[in-house]
This record gives sequence, C-alpha cells and structure tokens, in this order.
Amino acid sequence: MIIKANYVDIKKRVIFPASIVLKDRKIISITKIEEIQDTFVLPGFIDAHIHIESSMLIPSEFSRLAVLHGTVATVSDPHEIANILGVKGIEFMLSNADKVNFNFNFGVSPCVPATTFETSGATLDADVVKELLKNKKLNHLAEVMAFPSVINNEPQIMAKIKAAKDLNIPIDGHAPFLSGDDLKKYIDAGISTDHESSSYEEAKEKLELGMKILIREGLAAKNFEALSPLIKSYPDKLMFCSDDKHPNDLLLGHINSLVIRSIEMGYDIFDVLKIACINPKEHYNLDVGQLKVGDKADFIEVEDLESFKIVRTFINGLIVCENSKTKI
Amino acid sequence: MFESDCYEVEVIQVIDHELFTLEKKYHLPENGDFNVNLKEDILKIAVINRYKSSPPAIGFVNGFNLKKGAIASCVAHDSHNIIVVGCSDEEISKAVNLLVKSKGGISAVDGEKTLHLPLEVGGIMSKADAFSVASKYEEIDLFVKDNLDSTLSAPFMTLSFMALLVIPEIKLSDKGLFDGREFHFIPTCIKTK
Repeated sequence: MIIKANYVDIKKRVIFPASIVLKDRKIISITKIEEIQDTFVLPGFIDAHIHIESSMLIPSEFSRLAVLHGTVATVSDPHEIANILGVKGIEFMLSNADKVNFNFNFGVSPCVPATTFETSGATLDADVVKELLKNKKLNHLAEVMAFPSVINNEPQIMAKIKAAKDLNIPIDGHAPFLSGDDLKKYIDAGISTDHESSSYEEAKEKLELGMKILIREGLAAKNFEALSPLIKSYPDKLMFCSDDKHPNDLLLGHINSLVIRSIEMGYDIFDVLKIACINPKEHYNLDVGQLKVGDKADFIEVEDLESFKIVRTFINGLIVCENSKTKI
Repeated sequence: MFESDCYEVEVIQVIDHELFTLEKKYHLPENGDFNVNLKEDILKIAVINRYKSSPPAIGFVNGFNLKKGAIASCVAHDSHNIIVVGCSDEEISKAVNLLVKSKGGISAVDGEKTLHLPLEVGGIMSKADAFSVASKYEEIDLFVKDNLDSTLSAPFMTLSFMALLVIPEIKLSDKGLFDGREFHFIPTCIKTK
C-alpha cells in the first residue's frame, strides 16, 4: 500500500509531503515528494495510564472506540479486575486483548487489595506478583499506590518492587501530594512515574527529582488545566493519560482531545506530539511503531493539525478506523 | 439500624468533581424516627460484601441530591463490592437485587421503574458492543439526573469512589465507616442520649 500525505517527523521537527510505502505490515520506505498533499500522517496517540475496566468494556470493545480518536496503544493497570478475580482476571484481560488488532499493554498490579480495611475478591502477594512478572506480556509494575508502605520499607511492597527492578522494567507511581524527603524515598525505591499530581508545583517537584509526569484528564480527576504549563519546560518528561473513562466519555474523545487543547493553547506542536505519541513508547519500551522505516505500521492519517480529525487509523499495517467508522 | 438513643450521626458529604469527601454531622429529628431527609439531602448509603454473605455496612450521605429512587453499582473502587445510595429502603433493596440477579452492573430505580446495565464480566465490564454499552450507560446517567434529580455531573462515578478508603475524609467500606485521615474505622452514631 502507498500513502501520500504530509509526513510529520516529530523528532526532526519537520513536515513535508511524502510517499509512504507499507509492506508486510511494516513501513518500508518514506520518500519526499513534490506534489502538495491534503492530509497528514503521524504516529498514533498513546494513553499512558488507563484502567480499561473503567470503560465498562472488555478490552476488545474498548479498542473499537479508542481507534476512532487515533489511539493506537494503551498502558494499563488491570487492578480493577484483579481485585475481583485475581490472576484469572489479569489472564482474561490479556487473552481478550489478544483477540483484537490493538496495542494493549498491561502491567502487574502491586496493590491488590488497596487496603486491609475492605473485602476484596483476591490478594496478589509478593510471590504472586513475582510469578506474574515472568510473563513477558506484563511489561511493567503498575501503580504503587501504597506509598506509605514504601516510605516505611514494608517487606511485601519492597519485594514486589525488587522483582520488577531485577527485570529492569518500569515501575509506575501513584503519589498524590507526596513531597520532600518522603517523595525522595519513594523515588529512590525505583518508582519513575506519577499521574496523581494536581498542581503545577507538585508536578514540578517530582519532575526535578527525576520522575516522569503523566498529565491526567479523566473522568474523575482533571489535571490538564493545572499541569499543561509544564509542556513548555518539560516536553521530554511528560505523557498524557486518562486513568478512568466511562463508555459514553470514550465515545466523545481520548488523548486526541488533549493534543487539540494543547495546540490551541499555543504549545509547540512537535513538543505536544512527542508527549502524546513518543514519550510513552520510549518510557515503557512499547512495541508500537513510530512511523519510521522498518517500524510496525502503527500510525494515523488526519485531515489537519488543528482538529486532528481522523481519516484513517492504522495498526499493524491494517486499517482499524476509516471515516469515523471502526473496522475492528 | 441504630440504638434508639442515637441522636447525632456522621454523614459523608460529597463534592462534585472531587474524589475526596467531607465529614459532616447531622442531628436526628426529635421523634427518633430516622430514615432519610430529602429536604436536607441526607440519604442512605450502603456497601454490601459481594464475595461472601455479611451484613451490609450502612451510612449516610449528602450531596447526591436524589429526590427519589436509588442507584447501585458493582463498580466501587477498589474492591468492587456493591454500593448503593437511595431515598427508601425498598428502592435501595430493589437496586441492589437487580445487580445480584444479573451478576453485576449498574442500576437505577424509581418506584416500579428500573433501569439496568448488566456488566457480566466480574460485575464491572460488559461483553456487549461498545456503542450499545455507551448508549445504555448514557440513558441511565440521564435518568438519574432528569428523573431522580441528582445534581452531580456523573452520579455513578461519584458513587464508585465512595468506597475508596485511601482518599479522605470519610468513606464507607463493606466493613464500616472509615476515616481516611486517621486510617481507622469510626462509628456512624456519634452521640447518644
């Protein structure tokens, strides 16, 4: 397949008309051409932290809505279903995700149950977490919500963190309002992201200490307005995420909405797209194409770079959305 | 549900768009016949263990502004027990029983009228077509706002966070009312005669 469109090279910060050749689900060439083109192609959007369960949809159905908005990949903590069904719940998410052409990524939930003051359906202790991490499909340790336990060096949580560190995979954080020495201790444990920051100052402290910040605009928590000023100074350290999305909400928009808003606000388009398309891939080492020669053909074609109206979404070289119709 | 000499109770006060709650205290009416107070928006909230048979945890909540009926959900972070808020015991039971019978989901009840989105996967996800789930969810959400008069922007979202103990000030788990600041259980009845 040959696609002619304006090619958006996010890293080199240039846009030019190009002919892109796809073969065997990969990008095999990108050639600059002279003819003026109408549409634009760029890597697809990635939600760096979303609980798929919050959409009330199983993964295969979730992806049918996500591709409408140019989302090609997600990073997810399956802790909602894990609290109910334990390992079986996580296995269900993985096997259902495999049925559909979409780049799902799941982690192992380290905080199941969330507290000992409630009844959950399952417990994932350190041994179970360690065993689950052997599965290569579970590519990170998901949100470490028990920050007091990390600060107090409690053996169960520290063993879970160690298991992930031994495998050299990312460890996600969840540290609302944590600051100062406690925050340093939390970061020193090996936790590299936070999606709970609700103020500019809170996020800035975490960034300065080396964390990456996921700007969250979800159903319950909406932090985009407070955190978007970070885009200017820290474009290499940010990602976008939803955390939670109800089904009707997912029908309306996804990471594309944050991209549109950021560009409307005047932030540099290449910085914004790096945050939406590249940073999550690099941080989590995701198997997602970035529209380079040799890459898996995961990308989007849009009408323009203001509305980002999706013409087509490609995943693994196949059209998964065309003219606002989902094809999966 | 309370000692007959109880005259002041804890109330979970919800704030729209927020996950945290505030602790509010409420004086029971003189006659001691306490159920709900629609005028002051003091409704009943309950969390029911869905993993084994146990007595429900019952409390009071302010801020949902339901003028009638009840809403229930199996989505209750993070343990996903059954959570319900309502104006009458009958409607509360009906909303919960809908979920028990269908093994999960969300429900809304107004007298004889019932609306229900079954979520048969673990009680929190549907296997049905994404577009139909979205439109059914939208229908129930609008019913709660238009017919039951809730003033919350996403009543089922707020409901699902009422059992998330790690976010203060007070929440309700299946084991009872919980103070997320001090990290311990607290009694619903504060003062007795």
